[in-house]
Amino acid sequence: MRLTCPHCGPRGLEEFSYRGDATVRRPSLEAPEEDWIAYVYLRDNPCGAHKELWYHGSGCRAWLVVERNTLTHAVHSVNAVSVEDAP
Amino acid sequence: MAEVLLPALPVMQDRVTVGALTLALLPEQEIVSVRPFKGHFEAVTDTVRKALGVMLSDSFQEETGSGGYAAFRAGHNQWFCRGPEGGNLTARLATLCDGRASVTNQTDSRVRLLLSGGGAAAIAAKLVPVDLHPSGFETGRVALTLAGHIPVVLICREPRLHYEFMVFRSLAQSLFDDIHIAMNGGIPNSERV
Repeated sequence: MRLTCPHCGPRGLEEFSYRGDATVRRPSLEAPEEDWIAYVYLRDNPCGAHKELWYHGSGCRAWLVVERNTLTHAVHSVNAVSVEDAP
Repeated sequence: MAEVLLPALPVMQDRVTVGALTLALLPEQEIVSVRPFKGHFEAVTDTVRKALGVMLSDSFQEETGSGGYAAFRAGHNQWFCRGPEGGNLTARLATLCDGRASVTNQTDSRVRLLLSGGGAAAIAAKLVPVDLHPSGFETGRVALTLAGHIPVVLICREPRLHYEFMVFRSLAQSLFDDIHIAMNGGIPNSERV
């Protein structure tokens, strides 16, 4: 698998680390315990389009949001994380 | 009491030759990290362009200007500007940017090595996971990557023949040894495992 880093260009998978689901959002402090358990422990395992956090530790050391398809392995977009991506 | 601590030579030998290949320590340069603050990118780019004749570009190429100045992107919203030693580049840029960018001297943090000669690309390719074919990695192209386990900035000076490695000073000897081993036909890191 190759990811096209917005800072470095196309690079091999060995330069990146997978850092989890980019779609989870931190619940409010008042949220019920079930929401917090879901936020901390529960992850979907989608077959198809997914949004993930990757870390380019062996290159520019930037955090990236990768939109890819877990079924076809197609990579749709790779962007540097923005404020909106904060969990 | 020592008034000045002179930096030790970062590597034990400053040049080794194996057949047509040469690995040499390059002269010190002033290296400055420039990180524009939010909303000031245009102003900082303009300032650097006027001062050094180089753009802070988003491409993978190093921009070179007159007077030996150059700049390349070294990550997200970060550029490395470099120029001749003794040019007081850090102080000049800090003054010119006037609080619109974080300007940090990196001269002491990095050492530059140059791998030259026929087959240099093949030797470099033993260490870095980047495609060095001239069709993609041409003169001035910059790659932030790993050489073995050592973070480096690899810059193509001339396809197939000249490759510059910018490496952390404390890891310069290790990288020097690894490249030297590769030049001798060995496998870098194999003797340490």
